[in-house]
Amino acid sequence: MSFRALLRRLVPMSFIAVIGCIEPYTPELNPNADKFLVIDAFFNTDGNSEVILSRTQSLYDTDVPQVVTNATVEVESSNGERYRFSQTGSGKYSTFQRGLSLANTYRIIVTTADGKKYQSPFVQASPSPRIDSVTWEVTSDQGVQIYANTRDAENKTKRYLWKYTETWLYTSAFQSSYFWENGSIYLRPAGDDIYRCYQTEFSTKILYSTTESLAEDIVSKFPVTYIPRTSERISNKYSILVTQFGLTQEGLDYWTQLKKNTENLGTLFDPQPSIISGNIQNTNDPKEVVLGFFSAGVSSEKRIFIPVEKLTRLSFPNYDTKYKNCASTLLQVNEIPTWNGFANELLIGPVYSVPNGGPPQLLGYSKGSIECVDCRRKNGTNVKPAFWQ
Amino acid sequence: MKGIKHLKQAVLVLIFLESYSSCLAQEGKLFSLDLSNSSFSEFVTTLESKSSYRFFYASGFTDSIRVTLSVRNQPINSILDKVLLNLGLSYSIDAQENVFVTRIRQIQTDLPVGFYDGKDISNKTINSAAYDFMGLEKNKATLLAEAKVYDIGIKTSQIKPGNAIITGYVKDIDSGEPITGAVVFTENPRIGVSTDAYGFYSITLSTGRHELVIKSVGMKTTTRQVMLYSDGKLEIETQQDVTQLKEVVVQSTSDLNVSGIQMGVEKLDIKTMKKMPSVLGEADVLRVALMLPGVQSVGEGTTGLNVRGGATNQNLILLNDGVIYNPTHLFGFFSAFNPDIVKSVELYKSGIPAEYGGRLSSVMDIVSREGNKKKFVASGGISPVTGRITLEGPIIKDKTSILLSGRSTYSDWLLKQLPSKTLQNSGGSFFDFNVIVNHEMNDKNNLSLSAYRSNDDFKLGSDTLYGYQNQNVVAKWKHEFSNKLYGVFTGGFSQYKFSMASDKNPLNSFDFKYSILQSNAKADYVYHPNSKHTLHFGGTAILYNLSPGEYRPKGSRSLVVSNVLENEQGLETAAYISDNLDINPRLSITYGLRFSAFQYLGAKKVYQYAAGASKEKSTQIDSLNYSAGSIIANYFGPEPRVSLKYTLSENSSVKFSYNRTRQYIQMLSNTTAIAPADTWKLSDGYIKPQIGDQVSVGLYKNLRSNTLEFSFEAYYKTIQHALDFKSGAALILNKQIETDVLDAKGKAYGIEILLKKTSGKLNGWISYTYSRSFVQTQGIFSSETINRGEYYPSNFDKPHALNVITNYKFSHRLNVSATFTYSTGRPITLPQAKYDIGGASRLFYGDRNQYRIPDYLRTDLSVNWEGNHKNKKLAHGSWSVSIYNLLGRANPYSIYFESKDGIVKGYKLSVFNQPIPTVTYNFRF
Repeated sequence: MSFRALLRRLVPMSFIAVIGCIEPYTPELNPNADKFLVIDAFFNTDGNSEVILSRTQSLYDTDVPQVVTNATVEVESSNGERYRFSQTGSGKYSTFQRGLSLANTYRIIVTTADGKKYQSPFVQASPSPRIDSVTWEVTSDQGVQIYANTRDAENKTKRYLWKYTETWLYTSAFQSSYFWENGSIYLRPAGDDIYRCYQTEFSTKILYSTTESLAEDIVSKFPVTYIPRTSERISNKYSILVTQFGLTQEGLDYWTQLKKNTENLGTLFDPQPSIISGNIQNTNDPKEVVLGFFSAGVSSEKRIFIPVEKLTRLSFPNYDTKYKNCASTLLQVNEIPTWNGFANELLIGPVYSVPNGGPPQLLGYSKGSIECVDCRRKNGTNVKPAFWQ
Repeated sequence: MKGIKHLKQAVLVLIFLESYSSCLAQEGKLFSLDLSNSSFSEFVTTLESKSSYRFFYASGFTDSIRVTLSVRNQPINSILDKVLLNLGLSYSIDAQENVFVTRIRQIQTDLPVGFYDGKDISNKTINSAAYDFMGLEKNKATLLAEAKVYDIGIKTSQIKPGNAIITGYVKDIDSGEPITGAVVFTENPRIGVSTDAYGFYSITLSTGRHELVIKSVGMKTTTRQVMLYSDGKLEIETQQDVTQLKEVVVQSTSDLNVSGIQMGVEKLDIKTMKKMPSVLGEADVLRVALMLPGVQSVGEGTTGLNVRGGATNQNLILLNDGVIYNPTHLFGFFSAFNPDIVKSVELYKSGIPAEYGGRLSSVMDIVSREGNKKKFVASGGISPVTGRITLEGPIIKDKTSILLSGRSTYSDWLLKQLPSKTLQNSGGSFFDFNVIVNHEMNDKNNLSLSAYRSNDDFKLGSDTLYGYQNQNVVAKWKHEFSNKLYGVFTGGFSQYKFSMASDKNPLNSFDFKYSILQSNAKADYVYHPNSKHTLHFGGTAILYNLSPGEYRPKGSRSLVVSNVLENEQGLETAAYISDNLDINPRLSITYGLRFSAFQYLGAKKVYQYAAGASKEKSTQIDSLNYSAGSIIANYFGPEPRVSLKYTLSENSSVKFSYNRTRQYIQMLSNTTAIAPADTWKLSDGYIKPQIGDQVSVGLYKNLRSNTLEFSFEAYYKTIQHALDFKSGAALILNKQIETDVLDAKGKAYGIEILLKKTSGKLNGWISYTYSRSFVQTQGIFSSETINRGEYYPSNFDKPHALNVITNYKFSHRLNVSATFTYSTGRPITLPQAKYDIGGASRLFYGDRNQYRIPDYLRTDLSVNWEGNHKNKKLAHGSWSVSIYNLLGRANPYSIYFESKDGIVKGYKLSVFNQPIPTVTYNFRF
């Protein structure tokens, strides 16, 4: 045994240990764990409100969450009026109200198809002023930082929650101008654009702020999101819609806890995660776990666009697109009638060879994988959103 | 086997028997004598001249004897009966006509039948101790001392009836070191005291003749005959018990289990610790403590103790009265205490004496050895990870000694030899150093100085360098005012610092520093007014200075913005008095009161929060500036302490204790283990002092002549104002820490059963603990409430724990130890489900601490081999081979979940997943 081998045997492996001996582990989590009701609810007193009812799912479950259909969803105001939601999609319930009083308090009442009744206490409706502006700037590391700015002249809102939706234009690796069908090649019609797509993503971060420690109810340059220098989002045109809500103290507490709970885990010195209690209860069984927090009030929105031309940056970055490993190949003319690769590949455009002094000669058509050519294959749609400018 | 050979070679083996057996002398020759006021030696010479009898006796107990005798034709037996029995002496005569004159115990001149066959035929033999002649040299002095009658006080012709006090020191005959915790007692009536840290004792007895018995762990039991006239002194020297060295000697001397009033205290002797299998080749005070009932930790890689359901910061850890804030090296793999300087460890789990305070759950009092006052000695040890060396000796012989001891790792070097890149990028090193000086000014004054420093640096495969240091200096002066009163005056400093630094990226390079400095002064008095009472009283003051965090840029290019938290100051004071009262021979009580106070002092900026709102940064409305020295918050309260003992029989007793403790400094940690960046925080206007109350009862029984000890203890305790933390609380560099801290309640209860065998070839103990520990966090606001405000299991609630420690002695030089540990896995919080809110997937954590990690199970083995036992050898060496986690079981430390690409996966992390062998060589010369 060499000296090193001996050492390896003898040296206590405490340091390896600290770095960790990590093995996959699937603890048995209560197999009969109830599928708890999740109520994602905001009641807009001046606009469209959407409530989503779903169920929690097992950690190891890879399906989309199960939704709760055929429930009755109502919001009751402190003056006794009831606003009924209608089912507008699977698990989605909506209503549209205009100009309800913010002086009233509101509560949600959900009755599931099996007759169980859930409700929240009456909550204060939170005002939310208009968003002053959504601004952005190029940071020192050439990324883009988006900010929200708001002010409440009446000093009433004080606690704010923001959500945002990003939409951006991207293009696939190759612009397809032709298509193959039954052994023949056709020009792709102008309306059939599979090169330019719009991708939309909802915020997953929890963003809140409060002005309670300030003399005035002014939020200045609240950092909404940061886009790295090479992000595909800012490779063409980018748009962000920032939605702002007011929060009650309880609402702020709820979102604060939910945010803290998503911190990292898995070291020797883990912080403690904790249960998040929302404000909705089963009226007959207060012990039943119900997730979600009901709040009411108004929301306000602001959308901005950032075209790439407006970004005055030091250098043109090598964008981190979805099409890093795309390459085109040639479909030779003689192969066209019997091509059988149409299930996986799309044509891009004709390829000519120009012999010395002669006329161009069609060699065939370049082609790429569907993933590289059809932008719809990468989480986008080629339908231009209505708001797109 | 050498010992047996010696015995065979020996002409005579003396076996002392407790019982008197019939005299074996033969009838024969008759004597006629006429003696008038002759000395004993004249008497003997006369008899020897007239016969072939040869006399053996110690002059110590015969030189005061005068013999006046006139007999005609009497056998030797009747002559000796006449002369000796009246003097309280015995004699025996063997076949070779040797006469042995002894005190009280008669010498048995024949070996028991079958002695050399190794068969035990004498079931009457109790406490037998076999001596060989080679080793008898040193015994001679002891035997003489035992035989002599000491006159205590001013000798009078007539003894005045009444009580008198004997005081003195018990010391090691070889090194002159004081023996702590030795019990000095008389059998009849049963009166006993134990020696303090200086080896000092004070016992009140009725005047007249007594036999004092002196017993102590690891020392030979010795006796002294005293004739007590009035108050006086008696210095006692005892010998180390060489044969004892091989045994697992644990906790209090056997009698104390039943007869001592203190309950819930565990005494550990360093020799015990050195026998137990160790993880990295070092005897580890904290790891041994973990084998005791009621003491647990949350996992490996941490030596933070949870005592009877208390948090890791609720233990007062003292090294020679200096507070140690971080008792570990390499974040838990070693304890901070060099085994070579540790003399004894006492762990109080309940019935905490009134002189201790400041922490809720336990007091771990670690006392170091004193240097050898007679000769220079060097000792040390080498293992693959650490090396240590101790030098000690007299500065002034028999008066002043010094002990220097150092310990360090060379693990960094070892890590560099390993092929793994990750390992090379990680590293850790530590050292610690002790200096202990003792000076005996005279028989009334003792001075000692103890200094300690430890240093740790480590890096874990990342670019952040951590480091921490403990330092303390303690000076003590013991003064004896009179036979009845003495005092110990202590002054010192304890400091704990930690730092983090990173300089990988010059733009983000930083230095972070934290420090705590406490200066303390203390006076403790012990007063023995009479034999029924012992009073302890005194006072203490501690001034705290904390620097809760300094975050600064490192290097000129760093863009880090400095963030320096304001210093914190606090003054903790306490006064106490307690009385130990023997109401009757069966019932004893110790009752006392400690009154403690704490002032949180300026200068400091204190944030104010909106009334009626939860304390969040968002609800802060104002701040107040306090000037230096002004009182920001003031707390005080009594801490009653009561212990009761009722003796049921010679071998059994029941005990009861109640104590309240208050804690004014707490650790900020929302991790389950002690983490490298945990900081301490003083109680302030928002964070209230923790208050703990504990009631415990116990039954103690010794079986089979004190060789088997059984104890059963049950306790119930409550904690007010324990700290809990909001999820994801930011505990470092938080100017408004009160916004992340929650006020919690705790309760814990349990039973502890311990069965211990203290002697014989096979010894050790089995302990079983059933214990529960709960927390309740019920705030006014939902963000301040955990688990709906119901009681939930604390992070260290491990209901079942079973520890088995065995040591088998194959010979005087070879012994094997094995330990087995089982405990229920600690509670953790697992996500129960996932769900979507606001378009994002979130984990749903069920109630806190409702799941448990798998049970913990570990077996360790060690083989200890000593060089031969010649006392005069130049160097003594011993080898210890140990295997930690013999079965290589990967005991999970934590379980966590991560969401990767939309799929949630679980992982378990274990610290040791393979057996860890170590070889250690220890030496002494």
